Amino acid sequence: MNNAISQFRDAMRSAGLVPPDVIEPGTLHRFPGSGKRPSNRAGWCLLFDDRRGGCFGDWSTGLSETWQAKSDKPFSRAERAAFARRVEEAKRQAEVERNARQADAAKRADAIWNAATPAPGNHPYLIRKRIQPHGARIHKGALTLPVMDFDGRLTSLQFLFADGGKLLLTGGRKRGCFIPVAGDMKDPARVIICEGWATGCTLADDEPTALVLAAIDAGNLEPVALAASRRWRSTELVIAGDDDRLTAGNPGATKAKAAAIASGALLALPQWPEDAPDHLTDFNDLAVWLAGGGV
Amino acid sequence: MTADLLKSAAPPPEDWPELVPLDAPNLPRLDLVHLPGWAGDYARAIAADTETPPELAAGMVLVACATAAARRLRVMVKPGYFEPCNLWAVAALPPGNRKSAVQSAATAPLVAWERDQATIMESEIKRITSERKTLEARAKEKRSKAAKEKDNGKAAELAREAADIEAELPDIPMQPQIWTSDATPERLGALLAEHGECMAWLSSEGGVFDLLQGRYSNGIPNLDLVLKAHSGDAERVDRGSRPPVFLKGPRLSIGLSPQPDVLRGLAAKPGFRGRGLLGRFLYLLPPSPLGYRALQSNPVPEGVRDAYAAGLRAMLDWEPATNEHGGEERPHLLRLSDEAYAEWYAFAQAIEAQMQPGRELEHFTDWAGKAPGAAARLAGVLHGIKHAHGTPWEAAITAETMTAALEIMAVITRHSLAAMDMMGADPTIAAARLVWDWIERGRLARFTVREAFNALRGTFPRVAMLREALEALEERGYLEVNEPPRDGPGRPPSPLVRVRPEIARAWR
Repeated sequence: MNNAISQFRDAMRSAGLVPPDVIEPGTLHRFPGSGKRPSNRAGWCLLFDDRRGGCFGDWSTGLSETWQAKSDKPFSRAERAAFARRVEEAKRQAEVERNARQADAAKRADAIWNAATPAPGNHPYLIRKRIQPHGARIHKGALTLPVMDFDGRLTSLQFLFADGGKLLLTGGRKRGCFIPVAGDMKDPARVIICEGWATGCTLADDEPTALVLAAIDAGNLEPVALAASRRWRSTELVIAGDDDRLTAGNPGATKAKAAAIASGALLALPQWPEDAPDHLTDFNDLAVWLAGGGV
Repeated sequence: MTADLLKSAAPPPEDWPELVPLDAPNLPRLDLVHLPGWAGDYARAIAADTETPPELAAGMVLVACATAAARRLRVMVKPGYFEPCNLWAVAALPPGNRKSAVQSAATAPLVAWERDQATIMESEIKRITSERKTLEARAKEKRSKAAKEKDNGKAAELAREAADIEAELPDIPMQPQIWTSDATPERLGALLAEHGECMAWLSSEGGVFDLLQGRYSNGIPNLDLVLKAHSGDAERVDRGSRPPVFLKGPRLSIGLSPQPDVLRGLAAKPGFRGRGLLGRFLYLLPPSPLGYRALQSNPVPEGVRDAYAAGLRAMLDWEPATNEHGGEERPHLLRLSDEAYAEWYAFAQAIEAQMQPGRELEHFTDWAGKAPGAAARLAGVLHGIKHAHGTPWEAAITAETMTAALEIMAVITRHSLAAMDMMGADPTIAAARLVWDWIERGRLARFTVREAFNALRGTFPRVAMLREALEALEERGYLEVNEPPRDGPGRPPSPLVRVRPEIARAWR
């Protein structure tokens, strides 16, 4: 019996997930998604009661896999049909849970956002980044930013702290969602999509007529860019990527390029002057450095 | 003040697979080394002179030679299995590729032969025409007298004499004709009947297909005679005001050099595919050299031109075989050497295996089924070229000649599959072409599968069918289909299709 659990764990590991310590057959488990912090619950798995199959996934990456225990004899048609039904049921159950969590997070986001006050221009984060508030609000001292979907619904919040720390509201939907930084959503002349909100503020100041959206992180650039390309067919899209020059594989530039290719957008990366220090990575870093402030 | 931070924004560099055109995917080139002696030399010289692809000259020279060979030769592949030597060839090229010049050069000896034959027969034609006119006048006079004669017995006698004279009127010999460029199938039948059952239909355009589709017969295809004139099967021909005749073994050669656009959609023409018309042609789709020509003519050397004219003339002048009583003319039989037959048989077996479900020729059985026969015909023509100045029927077709024919057939097979694709023979490629036409018309750099489905629902009743066509386009590097992630509850967004950037940029 433990052999089945062990095989199930191996299957999850080979898909890049770190399985939870305890897996109870018949119970849907939630655990951190791939590369996520310990409190994250994007990963999910369900080992069926009979331990002959199961399924798992990661809502943050879109991963969804099934697993079947090795068998000495081929599965009968009835067994295969039963397995397919259970997988569907497990996926539906996981999705119901996820939707409930996201709906709950959206309610909390709404309450926090409505209670928050407009951010003052002298917030330490804004000063350090040399940017305007661009509609940010304050909640318990943190800059609070709305995370929206393309239907205009508030799905989550991002909190930026004076020390540079960042947090997303637990359970909120992020994939395919964005922080609206500046510009006209109805009929934009140009859409700029970047990773972080501060970078978006810099780009909005640099190009005041553009619609600027912050995708929150590099992994979310592509879903946002694809949705934007569907929403604004004839509008020029620009993916303004980060240049993680000191990180192996340069994830910022790599994912920005992938997003631009997938959505048919233009790609822009910071053009570093020769004397720019290597630790600068994004357009905000560049603008701050150019303004002579140093980072 | 802005720093113009995004001034470097540009399309991202991408690694797209090499574009494989829907119409002519990386086709092998025809090496004229397989065309023997004076025919190969002339084809090379025409191609150099006109700066046209060698495939065009080769196709036209082969048909010209097949026209001559078909009059006097047929191949016995094995006891009981015979192939005539007429060929049907299509070499398609876009406009402006000097197709007419090549065809004119290839067929010049046929024109000259017709002219010379007319000169030789001129006095005979004049003599018989005069004699006929005299007899007609005599008959008319007898009939006139009969009309005026009051004695019924004498009148009947005069009328009978007039009828006897008319029955003995000599036929005026036709001026020899061996090729035509514009004839209805009905007229073609008459031409075959009047000129020894052997003709060539040569055109640098594709109007032949319009004629076959029934341009002058209310759109009703008239294919029977043409199909039988490929295989040499007997056919009855009505000749308008003259008595009908039976063609015992008509042999029609066809050489066309139309624009590729003419080929598109031919498979959908009534009867063209189903009755085997399209499967009888050997296709060549050379790349157009326009834009890459040196525009410096290398005239055909006089010696090469003369050798071609003399070679083709010698083939046209071969004496026919006659039956054992020395009367009825018939083609000589060409036999294969054992080695040549072994080569041919291996080719036929390979083609046969490729027609199995799932194999390369599965959707092209109408063409592939005739390919071994075409190879035998081609070997017969090449053998005739080699022995033009002798008596080819006295030598067996060698393995070397058969190998040359099969090398040419190997290239023709690739080109023909591409041509059948272009004509809409492969349902997946035909579907891909329909989708691509829709994309090109709208210059759609990006669209969703759902949008394509809504626009093309009449042609693709199910999304799965549309996806298959899109996959074919993706395989060939025209576009890519991006499956979007599920971002929330409800129906997932439709996959986004993105056209190859260089094509989309060219549209802009």
